[in-house]
Amino acid sequence: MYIVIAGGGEIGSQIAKALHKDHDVVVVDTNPEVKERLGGLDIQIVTGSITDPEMLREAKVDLCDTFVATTNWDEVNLIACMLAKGLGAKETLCFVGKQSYMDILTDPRTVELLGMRIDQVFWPQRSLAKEIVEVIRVPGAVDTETLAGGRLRFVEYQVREGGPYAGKELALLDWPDGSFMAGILREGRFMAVTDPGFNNLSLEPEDRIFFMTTPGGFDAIQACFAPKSRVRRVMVVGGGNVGYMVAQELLRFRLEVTIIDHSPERCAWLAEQLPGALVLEGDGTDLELLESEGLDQVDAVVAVTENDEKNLLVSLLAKQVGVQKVVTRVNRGENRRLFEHVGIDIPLTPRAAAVREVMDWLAPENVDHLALIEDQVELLEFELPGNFREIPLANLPLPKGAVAVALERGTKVYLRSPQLAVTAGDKLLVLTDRQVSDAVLEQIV
Amino acid sequence: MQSSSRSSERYRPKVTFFFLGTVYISLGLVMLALWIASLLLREPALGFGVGAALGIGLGFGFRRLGDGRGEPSRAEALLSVAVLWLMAPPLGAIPYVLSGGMSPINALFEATSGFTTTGATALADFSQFGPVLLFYRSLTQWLGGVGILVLLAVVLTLLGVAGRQIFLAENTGLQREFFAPRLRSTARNVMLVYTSLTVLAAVCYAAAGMPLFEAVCNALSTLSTAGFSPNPRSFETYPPLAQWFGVLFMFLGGSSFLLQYRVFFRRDGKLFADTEFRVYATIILIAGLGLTAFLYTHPNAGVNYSLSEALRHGFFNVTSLVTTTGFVSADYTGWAPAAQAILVALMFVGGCAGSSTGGIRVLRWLVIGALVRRELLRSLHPQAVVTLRIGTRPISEDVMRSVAAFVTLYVSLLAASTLLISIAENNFVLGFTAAAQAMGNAGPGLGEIGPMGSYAGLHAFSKLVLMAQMWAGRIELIPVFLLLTPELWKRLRG
Repeated sequence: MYIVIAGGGEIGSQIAKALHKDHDVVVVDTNPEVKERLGGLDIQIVTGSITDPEMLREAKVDLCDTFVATTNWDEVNLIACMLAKGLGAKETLCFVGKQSYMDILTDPRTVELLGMRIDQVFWPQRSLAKEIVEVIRVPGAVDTETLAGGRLRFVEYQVREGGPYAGKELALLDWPDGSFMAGILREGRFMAVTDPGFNNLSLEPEDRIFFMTTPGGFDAIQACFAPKSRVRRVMVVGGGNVGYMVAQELLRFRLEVTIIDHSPERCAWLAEQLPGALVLEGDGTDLELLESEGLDQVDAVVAVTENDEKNLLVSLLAKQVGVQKVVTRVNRGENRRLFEHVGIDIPLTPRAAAVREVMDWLAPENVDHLALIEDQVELLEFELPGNFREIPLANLPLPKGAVAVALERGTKVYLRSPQLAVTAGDKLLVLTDRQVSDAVLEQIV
Repeated sequence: MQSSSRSSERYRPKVTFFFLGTVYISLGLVMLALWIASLLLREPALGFGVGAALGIGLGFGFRRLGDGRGEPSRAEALLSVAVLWLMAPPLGAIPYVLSGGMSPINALFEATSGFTTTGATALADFSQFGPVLLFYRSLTQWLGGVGILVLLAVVLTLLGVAGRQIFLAENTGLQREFFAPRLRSTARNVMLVYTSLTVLAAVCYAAAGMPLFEAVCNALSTLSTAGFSPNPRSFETYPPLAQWFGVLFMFLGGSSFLLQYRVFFRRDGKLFADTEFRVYATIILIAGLGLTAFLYTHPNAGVNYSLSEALRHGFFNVTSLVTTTGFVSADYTGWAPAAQAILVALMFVGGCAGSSTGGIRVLRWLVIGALVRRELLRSLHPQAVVTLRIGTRPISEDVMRSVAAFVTLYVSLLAASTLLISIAENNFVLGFTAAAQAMGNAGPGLGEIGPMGSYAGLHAFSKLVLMAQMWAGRIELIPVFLLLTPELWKRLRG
């Protein structure tokens, strides 16, 4: 496919990285630096304004299959998409940051007025907010996804230093029924449970363990990892779109929410929109404020300002005073590794969710990208074609670093077990290292 | 020549004159009808005759001076409200003097009390009034109620006086309509409820065994939450059922008529979805049960109530004082001081916005509550940003400010009047309760001015203070205090 990406920022470059191997990719950006940053990729880079029709012609937008507008400016994205469609792009994908645009663009009346100018709207901040809420509501877990309409749950835990699992040999551990341990992530490398030599490994602190569970199994596994107490008090630093959506969602679950923002107008708006939340006007890095508002007594801190340095500072402060769970928003992708190095447990970025959604949109019909974890591990779902021959899960020809974890058959779900076989019409869930995900796709489809 | 032409160009409050003229003519016509009635019933008719002539004559005079076209400025609208309630009682007092044989000061007191729907009476001997005069006395209250509901409520609400802008938004949800249609339709809807409830009350009272004439008069005083009764013992001698009907209609009279219009006539909206109504009903329920329990467990002064009697007296008197009506089912001056204290405290509650009750009113208490809550929260979290809310609805800062100003004025004026009356009468209980009831347009106080007593024996000075209070309390204080500011007069002069 021929894909034009407007905007070489965080989201744009991630999509380019994910796509450049299998597709012809062109990135258009006004900033000449993008050329250097993405120079290593097999893509074409055009420097110029994406709202300039001449520039778009130069990028051969008229011939492209997919046009993705990914700049940080909603209006620019909208105009670029309209222009691209007008020039002849087959489909246009648009990123927005404001809820109002999301509402307008998904309203059927808008389509009626404008025609199908924009085929799909992505709102990464919304996905990020949802992810944060999930993480907070499941104590102990680093990440969690609900799948198959609630019949399956994918969950990720971190091995804590001094915790019950640190130093244990994996072969000796016995997990409760209703859960399947799929593998671990250590120092950015995913090791599947089916990999040779896996059973000789011992768990080390900071390892991430992945489980696929049924709802009943989830409670059991949760009891193994989670602290006994439930999350009750949450402090949200940063009252932007993400902070607002997180607070709103948490309030629905009757949690005590404190939200801090520095702008008086934004605070007034938040106070009006969020009855029940304690809205504080102040700087999120004001240690005195955080202490007087009981930072050491909250169960979770969510640092979601627009500023990475602030988020980092707040998160470190929170960890310092012993907050159990600290969720940190990372705006610049380069910072993510850095954050992990200095001990931030859960750095999340709107980008990951966004990239996943775009991949999903572009992927063949029968493959779903269900989750992307830490940029390293991917959870894929395949719908198996009618001519697929029945084969036990254990005999599937999957590369190292990939493991089939469960399957969905009609209305039933099955976790991986020694006798389980997969057949035509099933939906197969595979957890895989991103490095080998293309190989997995080739093997199965 | 030059000076006279300049003076004619000087500002004249035309709309005020026009309104006043209209009100005088209407009152004159009412008295004309009553004059005919008195002639037929062979009662002293002189007062009504003179009143009718003066009312109609002066009314046309005022209307010639004024001009009803054009929208009044804010300043003039406020002036009109103040002038109307100040000027109606002098005309209304004429029949009391000429036909009822009252002294001018007592007559003026009685008329002020009537038009402000207070119900404090300066009538010591009921036998000196004939039926027509007693009917007229109740009618002034009913008309006062019309004035409050139609004119005062709408004008003050549209001008946002004393935080009243919240009332309309809460009650109608018609913010998008224009000024005049909204005024007219609001007035019509309110009048529909007010009149139907009055008729219904009269029918119920009569059916429950009240003499027909008294039933009509009491119905007129019930829905205007005023409290003049043609019976010197108020509701005491009526059968229990009539007293329970009294509770019901006082309760309805104390809740918003617009809300009742929506619920009973348009059948959209639920009574209990309205935060103010919910709080109002809860206050009456709790206070009623509290007083019942107290009366039942503390027999005193030879009165030993059974449970049903205690319930009836508890709820009747609580409802009466919360809604600032002032009817009583028993002479509570004989009760234990604690029971009396409960009743006096309730005068400060007042009914709902959009009714003819006086006092501070539930909605304003809710605003004050939100404000206090915010200040308390701020003392714990100095940097907290808190939206003021009633129920779930946010209220603006200027509502909060004007309500705070209103309550401050209310308390200050109450304190000053208490002091003045207490000195004049050399009696603190009397001074405080008289001042408190007059501010809230309730009616009875304690002691000599208790429910079966009369204000006739008070010093003339005290009566003047009370009349000023009733007037100021009725028109929500702000217009009165505005009259004292040079700013208003500067505005009026343009």
